[in-house]
Amino acid sequence: MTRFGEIARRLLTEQEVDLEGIVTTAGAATSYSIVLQSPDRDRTFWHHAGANAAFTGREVNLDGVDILHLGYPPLLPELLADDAAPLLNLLKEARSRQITTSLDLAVVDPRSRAAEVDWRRDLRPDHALRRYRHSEHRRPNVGARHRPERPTTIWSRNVPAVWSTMDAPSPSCRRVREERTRSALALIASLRLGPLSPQSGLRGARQRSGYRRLSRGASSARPERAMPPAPDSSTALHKELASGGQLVSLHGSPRPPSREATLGGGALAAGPPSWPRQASTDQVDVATCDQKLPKRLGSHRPEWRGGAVIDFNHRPVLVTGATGGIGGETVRQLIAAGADADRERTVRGGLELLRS
Amino acid sequence: MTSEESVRDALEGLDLYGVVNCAGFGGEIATPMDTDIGVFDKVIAINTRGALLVTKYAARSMIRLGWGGSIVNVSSQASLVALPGHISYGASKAALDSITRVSALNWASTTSASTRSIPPSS
Repeated sequence: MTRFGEIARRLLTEQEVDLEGIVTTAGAATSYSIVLQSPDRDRTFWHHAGANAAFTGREVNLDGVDILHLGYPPLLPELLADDAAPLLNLLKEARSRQITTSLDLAVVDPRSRAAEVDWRRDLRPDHALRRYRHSEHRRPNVGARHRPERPTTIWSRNVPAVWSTMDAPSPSCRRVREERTRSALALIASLRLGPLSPQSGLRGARQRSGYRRLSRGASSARPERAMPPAPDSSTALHKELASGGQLVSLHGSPRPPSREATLGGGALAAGPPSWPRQASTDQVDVATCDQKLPKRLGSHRPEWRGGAVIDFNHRPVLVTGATGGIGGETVRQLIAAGADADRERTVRGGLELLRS
Repeated sequence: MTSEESVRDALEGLDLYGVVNCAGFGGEIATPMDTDIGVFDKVIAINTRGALLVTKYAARSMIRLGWGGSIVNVSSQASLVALPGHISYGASKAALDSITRVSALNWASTTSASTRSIPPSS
C-alpha cells in the first residue's frame, strides 16, 4: 500500500467508516485526482487510475448490500474489457439481488477503451439481461431469479459525460446546450433506464426517468423542472452527499434517510419518489419536484424552499452585487425562473433591483 | 453599500419579495501580522455591514407586505474553516453567518419570511 493509501485509510478510520470492503491491490498505487479550478473555466481533472485500473467488479462482495453505486466506469478499463462484460455482469448480478444500482458517468476519452463501448446498447436493461445469460462470469442468484429487476439509475452530475457516453457532440453555446440536455434526457428515457440527474447549475438538479413520460409522445422530452440545491448544506461535499441522499431515497428503504444524507441531499433527497422494492422496470415512476414529494419522506423531509416551489413571477427580488460572478449568475437564473419579458431593472444608490 | 442613508433611500418604498446579498469584497491575502487594517475595515463594511443594512431595510418591506419570501446571504466556506491569509474575508463572512442566524431566529416565529446563508460549493 502506498503512503497515500495509508493516509486515506487513516482518515476513513477517523470518520468511523467500515474498511472491511476495501481491497488492497498489490503493486498498484491508490487512485487519485488533482482537480484544477481556474476562474471562468470548468474544472480540469488530472487523474491517476492506480489500483482502479485493475478493478474488474469481482472484488465486490454483494452480500447484504442495499445500494451499489459505481463511479466513473469510463475510467475503469478492466471493467470495460471484453466489450464491457465485467461491467454488465456486475450490474446484472446486483439487479438480480434486488440491489439498487446506479452509475455516475464520466466524460469518455476518445482514445481510451471506454470509447469502444457502445454505452447506448450496453446500458439497456434488456441487453444486459441477454448478455448475462450467455456469460459464466458470475452465477445467477437463483433465489432472486424470478423477481423483477430494477433498472440502473444513471446519476450523472455532468451532462457532458452523458453526451460523450451517448455519442453526442458537446455543444458550446447555451441555447444549444439546453437542447442537448433535453436530448440526453430523452435518450435516457428511451433507453428505459432509471432517473438521470444532471446538474443544472444554480437551478439544482434535474430529474428525468421512466418510460411513462416517454410513452406520452415526443413532448415528453422536456426535462422535469429543476430542483434547487439544498439551502442548508455546506461546502464541497454538497453534491456527493446529494448523490447519497438521492440513492437512499431511490432505494425506498423503510428506514428514514440519514441526517447526513438529508442535509446533503436536501431537496434532492426529497425529490425522487420512493421506489417500491417490487416495482418492475415498466412501472418506474417519474421523479419530479413538486409539492407532492415532501409527503413521501413524511416527517423526515428536510425543510427547504427553492426556486422550484417559489413563484417569482411578477415579484421583485433585490440582488446586490449583481454585476459580479455569483450575483450576475443569480440574476440570470432568476430571470430564467421568471417572466423574462417582464423584467425591469432599476439602479438606485448602487443597488440593482431585479423585477422578474 | 456602506452608507446607511443611501441604502435606506434606495430601498424605501420598494415592494420586495426576496433579497440576495451577493455584494462582496475579497480584500487581501495577508497574515494577521501584516494585514492592512484599512482593508479589514473595508471588507467588514461591505461584506458584513452592507449586508446587514440591506437586510435591515429590505426586511421592513417584506414584513409590511406579508408575502413571506427569503433573504439569502451569500457566504463562504471561509466563514466555516480557516483559509490561509483570509483573515479579513473569513471574519466578515463568519459575522455574516451570525447575522443570518440571528435574523432567521428573529423572524422565524413572527413572519413567514426566512433568512439563510449559502456558502458556494464546487
